[in-house]
Amino acid sequence: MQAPVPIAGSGSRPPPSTRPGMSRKARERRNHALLHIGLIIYFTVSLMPFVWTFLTSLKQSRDVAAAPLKIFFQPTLDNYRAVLFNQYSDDSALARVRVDIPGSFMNSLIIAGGATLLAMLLGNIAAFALARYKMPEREVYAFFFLAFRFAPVFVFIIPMFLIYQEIGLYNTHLGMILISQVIAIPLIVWVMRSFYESIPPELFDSAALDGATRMQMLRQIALPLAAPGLAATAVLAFIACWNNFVFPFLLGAKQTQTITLATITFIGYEEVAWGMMTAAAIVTIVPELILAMLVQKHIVRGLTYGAVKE
Amino acid sequence: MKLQNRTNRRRFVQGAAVGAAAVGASWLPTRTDRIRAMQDSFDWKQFDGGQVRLILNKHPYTESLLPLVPEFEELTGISVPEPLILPEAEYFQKLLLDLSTGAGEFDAFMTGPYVHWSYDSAGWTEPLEPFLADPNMTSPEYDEADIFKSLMDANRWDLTLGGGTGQGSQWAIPVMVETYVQSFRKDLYDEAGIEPAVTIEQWRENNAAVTSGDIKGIIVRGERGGGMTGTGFISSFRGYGGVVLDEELVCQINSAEGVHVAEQYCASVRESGPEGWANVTWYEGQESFANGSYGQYMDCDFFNALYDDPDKSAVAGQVGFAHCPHAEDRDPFSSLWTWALAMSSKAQDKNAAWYFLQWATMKEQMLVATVEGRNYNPTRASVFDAPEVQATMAEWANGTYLPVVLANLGGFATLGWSPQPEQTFVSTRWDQALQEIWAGDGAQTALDSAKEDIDAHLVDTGVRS
Amino acid sequence: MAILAPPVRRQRAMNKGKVERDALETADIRAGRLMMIPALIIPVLLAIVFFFGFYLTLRNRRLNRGDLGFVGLENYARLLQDDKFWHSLSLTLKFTLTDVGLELSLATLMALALSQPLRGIRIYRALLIIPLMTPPVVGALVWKVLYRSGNGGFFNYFLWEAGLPMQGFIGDPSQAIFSLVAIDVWLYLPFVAIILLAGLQTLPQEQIDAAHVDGANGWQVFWQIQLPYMIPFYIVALFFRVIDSLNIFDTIYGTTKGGPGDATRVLAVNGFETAFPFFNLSYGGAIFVALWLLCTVAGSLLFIWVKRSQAT
Repeated sequence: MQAPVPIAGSGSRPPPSTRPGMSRKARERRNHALLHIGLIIYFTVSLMPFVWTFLTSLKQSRDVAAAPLKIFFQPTLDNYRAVLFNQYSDDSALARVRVDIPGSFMNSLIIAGGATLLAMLLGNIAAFALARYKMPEREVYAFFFLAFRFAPVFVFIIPMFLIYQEIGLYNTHLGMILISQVIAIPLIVWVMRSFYESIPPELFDSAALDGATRMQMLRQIALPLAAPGLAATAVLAFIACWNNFVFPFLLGAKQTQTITLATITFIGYEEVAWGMMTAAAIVTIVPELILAMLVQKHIVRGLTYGAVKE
Repeated sequence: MKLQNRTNRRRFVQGAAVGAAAVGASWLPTRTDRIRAMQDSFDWKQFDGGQVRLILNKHPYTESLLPLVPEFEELTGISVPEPLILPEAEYFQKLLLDLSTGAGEFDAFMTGPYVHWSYDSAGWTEPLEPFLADPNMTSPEYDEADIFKSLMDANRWDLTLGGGTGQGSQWAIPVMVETYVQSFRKDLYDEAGIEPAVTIEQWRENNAAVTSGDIKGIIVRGERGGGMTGTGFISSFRGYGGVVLDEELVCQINSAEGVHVAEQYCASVRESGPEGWANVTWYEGQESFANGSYGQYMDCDFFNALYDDPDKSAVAGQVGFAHCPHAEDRDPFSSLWTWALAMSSKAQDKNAAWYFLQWATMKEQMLVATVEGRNYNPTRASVFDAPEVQATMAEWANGTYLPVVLANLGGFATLGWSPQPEQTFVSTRWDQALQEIWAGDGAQTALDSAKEDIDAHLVDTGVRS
Repeated sequence: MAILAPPVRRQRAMNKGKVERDALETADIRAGRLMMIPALIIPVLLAIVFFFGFYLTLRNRRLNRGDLGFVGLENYARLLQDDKFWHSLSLTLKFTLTDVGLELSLATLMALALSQPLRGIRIYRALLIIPLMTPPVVGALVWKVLYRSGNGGFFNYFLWEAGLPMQGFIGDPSQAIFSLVAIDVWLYLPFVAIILLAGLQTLPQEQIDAAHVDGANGWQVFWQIQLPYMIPFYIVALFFRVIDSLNIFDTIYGTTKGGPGDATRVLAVNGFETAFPFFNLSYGGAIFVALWLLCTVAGSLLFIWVKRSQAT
């Protein structure tokens, strides 16, 4: 994987100094200082929810809901021990029925990973076809995929539930992987199409002259050239599936419980285990952050379905 | 010793997941002995090979029951796949999806009055009295009479719209009961030289009197659809003689009493309550009262388990209990809620499901739930009167817990709402009206408009013509 | 990657005429359609299910009373006379306008800042994307706690420390919708900023330098050069943000559930509440179909606009 290089372009280089002189430099220095201050303020505010989540995950239960809010406290790793290794420091009722974070982490991994793999396979073939072949109706396909972004889930959730029960996909990993395709495929088709379109057509023409089949062209030319984009797209599809709540909630049960679902299960009827819940939330978010940082270079194209190229 | 046996329990949970565990609680007779004794008096193996699929709410009862499930499996030969456990909001949504589509994914579930009225009239729940009455289906040790009659009655209904509770079919068996009280800070009240309020005006004065510095006088639930009207508010409303729906199922929340109580209540919360009342969930109320920010939380009685826990609460030992405000010439009133176990009418194996329901509500299991899982308040007299349970409750709220809760259970507490299947709409719409009054709308206007909506909804849904 | 073919075939391919090329194109089109099929299967099946869901809105289906028969467009006729529907619709539009407007303007500032050659710019850009990775359900839960009343609440704690009056945020009717907009801006400002930043960076630096040489100040450079250049990027951002804001559900249902009163009961919350907790599946479905129509119209227009702006 490449080092995390943020969206880079020609514009980020300092402009050639056309009017040398102290005043200009001083002004620039002052402006930059102001910008730094502004950015630091913004990021302080914007990262606060994470700070709160992280701090809470290190708190003992008596510090969690204290008033005034405790900024300084005796940190503990008990919550992580409970969530990750099922080792409870106290004997609260919560300790008796574990919320299976490791198990639901695996479920999330299987579902999001499986869905991404399948969608990458199906989506890339379609994306390649959309980029290369001039089907007169290709914008119709493209728009059709995009339309899933504004289809209200709740209109088809009842029929979907019944169908899943009927055909035995309910509460199965396969069922979750299949339904996740509606999240992953549109994203992959759109993003990868834009990558394939930017490959010079001459490369394919000469391969065609050499008698390569279409699948060979995809495998041997398009995929290697689009490899970094491929990785970025896969990561974004993975994150989208990982974060989804509605499908595993309504079409799954215990055996397919994902980590986002398991996280909210710390809301009990007697009390809410904020410490453990925030620890679980951190466990949920960290893998996503790592993946996202790795593919930062192509994240703008991925997030905009290929509409904006970096 | 105590700790040891908790560790064992914990291992038990893990065991439950794989369906094999062999550790029991040492303060109970050993497992094998108990199971043998139970087998002697009743044929528990009748439905050997059956299966019960459960969906349960995240609740202390659930948490204490699950470790015992392997025992049930051994006793009956009925298998219990790992149950789906969800927090309340998600739990009801998921259950509704299963029941309303007739998918029959779950055989037994947790519910309560108000909620199961919708299920009963839709035919989603299975009547339990045929099982209870059948000596071949119910163990002689079950002792139905040991369960408080008023709570069994709360889960009976003959499907008459607007009446008929306590009659007709038994739709569910209660496993815990909550009533509603003023839980207040005794230290602050003493300091201010005040007594807990009897009337709603005194309540408002008290809340104002305690408000000073960083302490505010009152917190109550404020979230739309989160039981806001259903706990303390409806208790006072009924304590002033209000009724939500009259015999003809006409909405009466805008009656003179209704407007009066709502006006005082909302004004007091505005003066002496949280800035963001409409965001207050049951747990924000509970946690904020426990961290010492408020003079009173008028809500569930059993939340006291947290208040008096010095490891988690800043107000342990400083809490007092009193009945919710009521008219001077009337008795106090408390609405009540019971979590209860019910069977789906689409259950695959109803006999096996009944065996589970029966076993899960027997004395031994209920005692463990209360002692170990802090599942208060118990619904069986034998558990309520057990020495360790009495000892715990006697200490709570400086000794005011037991008398207040006993008086509630002894007669002040009954169902606050009239039975009909559109309960969620009625309560949510009422929640909305209270939020509007709190925000500054006139009580009469807001309640009139809510009444209109509720009446229209009940007509639209055929509850009344 | 070396693809070797016998020289004879290569020769033949080079000699082929227009007819042959047309034939090849037809074959390409056929193959292209074939290649679309695998990716289309599941979405098409789901679209069929969606139309079944739409059909349910033409019936009177109550979750707790079963199917009470076909009613045609009655549910839609009822929508038109339903004050609560219009209230939700206007709230949804109000939310979308405020939300998207704020996001676009703040993101412009952010993108301009991040396009400067600052020290440590990479760290800033890396931090920017963090909120985008939060699962919405967890995000809503966390924000609900951050907004708590009293000095045990996160934001109110700092107000209290500073001696300022504490606020109700989402629990106060006059602040609720803006507090929700704040959550959404927190979540999506980075998204818009990344798009605009990408736009700024493709603008040739020479143009800006030339303007500076001509004596233009930063403001003039922005208005006269950068902003017009970035219009296609704004449209892309607009497309995604308008669609998602119209559909807003998670952050609202996870925090206020439509309250205080009905101050935040946007279309999706109204539809959900009607269909599930209030059991009126068909009418709730009709509300969602209306929302879907709104999104489709807005989405199609913006989509065409995106395509057109990119073509020029």
